[in-house]
Amino acid sequence: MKVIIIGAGEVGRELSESIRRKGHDVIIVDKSEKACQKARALDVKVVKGNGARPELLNSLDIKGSDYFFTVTDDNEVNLVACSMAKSAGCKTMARINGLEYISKQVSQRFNQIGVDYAVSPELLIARKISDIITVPFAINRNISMGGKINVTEFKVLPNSRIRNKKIGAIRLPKNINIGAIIRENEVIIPRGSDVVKEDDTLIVMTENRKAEKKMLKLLGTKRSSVDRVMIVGATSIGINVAKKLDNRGVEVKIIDESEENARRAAEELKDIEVLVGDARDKNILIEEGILRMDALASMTPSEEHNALVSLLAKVYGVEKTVAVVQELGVKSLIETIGIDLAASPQLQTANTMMRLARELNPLKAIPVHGGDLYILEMEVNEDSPVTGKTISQSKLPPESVVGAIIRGEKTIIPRGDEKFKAGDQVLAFVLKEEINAVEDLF
Amino acid sequence: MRWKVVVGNLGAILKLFGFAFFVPVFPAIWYQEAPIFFGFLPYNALVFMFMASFTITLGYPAEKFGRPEDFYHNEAIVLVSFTWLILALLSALPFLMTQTLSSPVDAFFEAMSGMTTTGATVFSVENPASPLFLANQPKSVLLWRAVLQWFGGMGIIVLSVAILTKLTSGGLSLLSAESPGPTITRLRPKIKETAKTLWFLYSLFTLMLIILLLGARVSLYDAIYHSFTTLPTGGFSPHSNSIAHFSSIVQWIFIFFMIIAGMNFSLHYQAFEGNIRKVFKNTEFRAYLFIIITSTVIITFLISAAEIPLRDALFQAVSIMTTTGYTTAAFDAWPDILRMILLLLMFIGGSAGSTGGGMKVLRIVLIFKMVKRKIKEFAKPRRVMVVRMGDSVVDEDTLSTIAMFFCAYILLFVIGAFVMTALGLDMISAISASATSLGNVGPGLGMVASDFRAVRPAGRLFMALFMWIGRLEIFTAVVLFNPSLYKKRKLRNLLSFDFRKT
Repeated sequence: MKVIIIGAGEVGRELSESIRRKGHDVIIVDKSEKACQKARALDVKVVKGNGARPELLNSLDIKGSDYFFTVTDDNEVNLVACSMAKSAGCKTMARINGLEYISKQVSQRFNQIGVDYAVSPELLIARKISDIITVPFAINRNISMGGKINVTEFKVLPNSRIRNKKIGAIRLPKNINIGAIIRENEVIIPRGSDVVKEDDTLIVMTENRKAEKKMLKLLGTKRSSVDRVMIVGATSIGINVAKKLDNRGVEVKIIDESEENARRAAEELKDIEVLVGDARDKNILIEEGILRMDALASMTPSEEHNALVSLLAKVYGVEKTVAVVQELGVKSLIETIGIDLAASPQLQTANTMMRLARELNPLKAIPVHGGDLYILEMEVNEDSPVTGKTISQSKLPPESVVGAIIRGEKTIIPRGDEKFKAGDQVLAFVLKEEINAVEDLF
Repeated sequence: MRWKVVVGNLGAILKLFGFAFFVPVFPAIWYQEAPIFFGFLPYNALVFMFMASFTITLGYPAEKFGRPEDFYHNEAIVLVSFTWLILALLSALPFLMTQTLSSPVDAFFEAMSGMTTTGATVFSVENPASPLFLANQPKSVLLWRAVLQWFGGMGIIVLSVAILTKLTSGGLSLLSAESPGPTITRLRPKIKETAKTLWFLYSLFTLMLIILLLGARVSLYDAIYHSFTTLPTGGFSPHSNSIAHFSSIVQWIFIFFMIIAGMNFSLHYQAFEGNIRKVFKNTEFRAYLFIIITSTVIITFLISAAEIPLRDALFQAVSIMTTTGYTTAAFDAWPDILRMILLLLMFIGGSAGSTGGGMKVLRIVLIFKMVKRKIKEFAKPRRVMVVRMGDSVVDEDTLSTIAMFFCAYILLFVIGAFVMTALGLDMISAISASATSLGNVGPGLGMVASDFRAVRPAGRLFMALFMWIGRLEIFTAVVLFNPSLYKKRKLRNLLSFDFRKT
């Protein structure tokens, strides 16, 4: 298929790379020479110019294109370009910057002006951060199957009950399933004989919050909820996260250097403590109770600032720290220096757009851990090879695990003797190499 | 400041206000008040007819001499302040001309007390032997007091904005200068429509009360009279025993309508639009009801030794709190703690945007919130907090104006209490006289519990000025005392003046 992307920033480049990987043709347009240069390093066609100019779009043959993404940081360009592409018959998606125009992470409110999906980076990242923060020790959290299943990464702590135990010997509660183990950057699809070790990251599928809490007990944490969170940076993301956490009953403090930002936050956030101060100052942090915080999320516009504050929080024993990063390049760097999550609005936007573009992506596959592992969502048909067989009978490749089955309204965390029935929705963890093999069975 | 503009607009207002003088003509003729000329025209009717034509005629040259054109904020404020003074002076004349009052100071006091809806009087309420005994005065002159209260309640300026097309452009400044409360709620996009709506609701409630009272077998004169003095939270009554004159069912009607009058009229508008729920969610309204109920409960139940019936307790609390000033019980004889509660209620007053006086519930609520915030801030200097009223944030400018208003109010109250003591009142009487005048309540405690006869003429004049200052919520009134207004315009000012005009 043919895809046009307007905007060769972080989002555009990330998006074009994952689309190209699926074997589609990508044209990427940006008016800045610098961005174009970066994009040229990728295996895509790069065009320099304003993506909202009709002449330029015509020269790109938009009529013959299937998908059209606009991901510049200029809403005007995004909307105008989309609306032109729509009238040429493309499927369109636009990034909407700022929270003035959009109130949902993904909105279809802009259909009338030719945008099939409008995506808000700020809201996406706010949602992700608040989801991760509310589960202690969870590092990454995805919600699949329309919110019915949580997929969460947990770290195994030294005092965990399941440490040094074989997977087969762990008596897991009924609604929990371990999908994968990540050990020293290697993904292992566990079998009964594999042993869980300290510092492993487990990718766990749980049915609900209660199940998540049970999992936390197994992992050896005393607390089963996050009660106090400090948010650094009263940016629109910061304010949004504070609202979401407050709604879940978390005690939130939000701090910003600028009096103006703080005042705006105080106006928007009822009953939440808003402070003026530099969070890089350890005296301020201590006075404002950093020692009692369960988590800290730093969301200022500067990623150095965010990284520094998160590190400082780690020093004072905050168990979970999240830093917002703008540049994807530093994401893994920041995560290696001990910060639990470097959250990137850009990456989140690219991933979400990718998921929304179903035809580019016939398999519903959610990449986990940098794309080594995928969560596949599949449906069992009448004539699927697995229909009527139990999981153990169905010759699934060894590098895959059936994590959950959704049958009507019921969610089943299956054991080996569970039978597949037609109409089941299946959620499976599969290593990248085995995706096709698994897909053939359904 | 362009004085010509002020005078011009004042002229237009005079022409409008003149018609108010016609109202007392009817009772004068109806009751055939002596002396009578030409066999049917009572002298009192002639007086009011003369005053009406005089005021209207006065308006013409004023309008001609001045320039009744658009004005700026400062001119609007001076206009409001001036209008109230001039109208009070004009309204005092009938008292002198009908010879019901002989002292000009007394007449000014009575007129100002009427217009500002205070309800304090220099007529003798207690002593039937006095020539100034209230109940013996001619009905037309008594009704004039009620008419003054009715026009003063919703505000003559608001009425002018509603009726006169000329005042449209500076209307918002005018309305906010006259209306009680820190901010003005625009009921409609156009300021003229807002003023019209306010007067419509006000008139509608007055009419409703008249009908209800007639239904409860109150005489037509009493029904009109008391409706004219209830809705503006005025409190004048032609009866020496005020509302105790009426049956208990009538007293309940009055309680209900005093509460209506003490509410923000934008809430009535919302109720009329069908938003009753929103009315009960309003923070100020809740606080207003809470204060009324709490003080009633304290008066009736907690101080059980005083044995005050619930209706009396509620009536007095509502009457004082809304700054109406009716009475059904001799509350001056109540125990000190209860008199103290009433004194505090005088300071609180009605809601913002109501016809009541006092500091207004809204301001009191915000003052408490500001103090609470300051205390929190003291413990945590880094914390940024905003003050909310309901869901909306109150901006810092409004807050600091309210704080300054509170200070100015208390300061004036203290000055008033001091001066009144110096003029020979005892301490409690002086304190209550100052509070009741500034809050436009009416009755005080001790020597001023029923009328102001015990106060010396100098004190009466002083208290009349206090009523004026209180009604215009201090800042509007005292603008006239700002010397910079009277300075001859210098070249520099001329330049800035021209700059503004372009």
